[in-house]
Amino acid sequence: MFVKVLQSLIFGLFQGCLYGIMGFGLSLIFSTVGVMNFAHGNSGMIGVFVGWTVLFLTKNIFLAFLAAIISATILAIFIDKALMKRVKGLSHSAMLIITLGLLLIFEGLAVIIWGTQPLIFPEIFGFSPKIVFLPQSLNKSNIPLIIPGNDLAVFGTIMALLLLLIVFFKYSKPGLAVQARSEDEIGARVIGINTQATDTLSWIFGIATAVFAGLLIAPKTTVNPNMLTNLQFYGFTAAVFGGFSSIVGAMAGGLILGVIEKLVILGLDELFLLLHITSINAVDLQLSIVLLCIIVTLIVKPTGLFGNKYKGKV
Amino acid sequence: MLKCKNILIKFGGLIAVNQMNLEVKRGTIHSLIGPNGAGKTTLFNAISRLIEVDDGQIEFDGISILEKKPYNLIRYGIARTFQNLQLLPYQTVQENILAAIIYQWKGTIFDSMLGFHNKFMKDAEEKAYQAAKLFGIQNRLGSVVGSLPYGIQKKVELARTLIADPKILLLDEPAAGLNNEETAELDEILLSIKNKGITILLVEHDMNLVMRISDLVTVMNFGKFVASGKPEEISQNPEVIKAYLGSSYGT
Repeated sequence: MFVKVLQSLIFGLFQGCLYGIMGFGLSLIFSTVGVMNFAHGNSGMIGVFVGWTVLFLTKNIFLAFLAAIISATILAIFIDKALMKRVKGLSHSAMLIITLGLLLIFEGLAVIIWGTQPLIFPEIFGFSPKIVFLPQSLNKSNIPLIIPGNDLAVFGTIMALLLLLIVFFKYSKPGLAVQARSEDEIGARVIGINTQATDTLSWIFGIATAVFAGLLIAPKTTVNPNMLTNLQFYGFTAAVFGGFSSIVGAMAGGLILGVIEKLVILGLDELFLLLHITSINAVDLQLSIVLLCIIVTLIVKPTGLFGNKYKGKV
Repeated sequence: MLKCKNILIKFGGLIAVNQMNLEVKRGTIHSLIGPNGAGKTTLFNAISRLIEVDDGQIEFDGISILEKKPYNLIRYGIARTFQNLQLLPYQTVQENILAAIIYQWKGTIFDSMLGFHNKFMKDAEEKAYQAAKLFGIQNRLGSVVGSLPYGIQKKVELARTLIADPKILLLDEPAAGLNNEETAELDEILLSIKNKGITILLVEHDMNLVMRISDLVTVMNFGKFVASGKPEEISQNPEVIKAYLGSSYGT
């Protein structure tokens, strides 16, 4: 059992860091600009397609990453300056509908340009999985523990990115400005913060992290127009779980969500085995578990696990 | 120091400020009064560039501020508070006060990470402490602002404006929500700010406070200029009495 739990933890952390990085982008945009970006996953998907195209043409993975991040930046600036700036402060619904429109437009564009056929994206790290047998005292059934090398490398990369983001938001003036703007737009403006620039920066960071997550999972999911649709949903859950007002909240929420998801699946598997239920596969309940997490979080702690609790208390 | 010339501000068909003129002299406390809806806060918002004017000119120290970016006004020495507080609710009192001078730090992210900003931050923290002390909130520096009572939050906002070394303070109803004791304390604080050479433009409904501390008072009604003068002149002005103060005031 210990090995199974450990295995679930490993897989859970890998899944969770992806949920977290998507949640981070969503919550960053939501807390500054004030809109839930429904086109988040698809914006990331466009960037991944651009990266795939550059990789196809140059065979250079670094150029592919660079092109993908540059395309994310251009896309973010376009969304902020050409679309959102015009309706910002006028109507929240209008902003929301624009992101819904973009969701459909990006999907349509991807289908027109790259087609619906899944495109293969090569492994970025190329580590092979390791099989480990823990000592007999911990592993009576002698079950192998799988250490997925690539997944661990992805996990490490995302954690390193998170560290960079924390340093940026804690130590740099633009980072602090984004934080201040997310708490109070007018208050930030009167103390000398260019809130238009912070909004643009939030869009850039938000979409760039979605592209980054997309590139890291592309070897598993293939590159296709729907590759980030589910991950966006899980990212949203991570942000709700961790709290929209905390920079690290979504990330931590994602990791916890990933681990809970895998542990619950393991628990249900064992339960079904015990009860001789063979008609239900616990993995099929993955989405239900995530939805349940949202409902429980919203009931027990609406601000999320790491969310600030002082808003509105005057 | 601050000149508003023929300001016109419209919200759709509604004229909120109509050909309004205002001149604030350096080193004075100048109060802007008028009934609710007179256009005082709208004029304040125009001066602090939160809204656009439809016509007119606003000059500060000879510079047209309508051509400046709103977030740059603090660099020219214009700071303000709000009728409804605009603080950073999740940050501490100290962080809120410090936020108003962070823009003065010219270093990079690497300078910050390597600790080169320590000297700047030490000086800034000392300034924040002194500003907080002026308002008697130095013991609250570590408290998260959103959890504090309204009166203390008001003081945090005032301390924040002061730390940015402003030339002029635009104070929008600083006495609102304060009890009598706190309002009396505010008298002294505003006069001490004035004695430091900082000009104050004050919007306030507490007439006793206005009449006690103002050097000049300008009255607005329905977006228009009604009168301007010393407090004693204003309190005797029949037009002002009719428009705002009520016929029994001063009798």
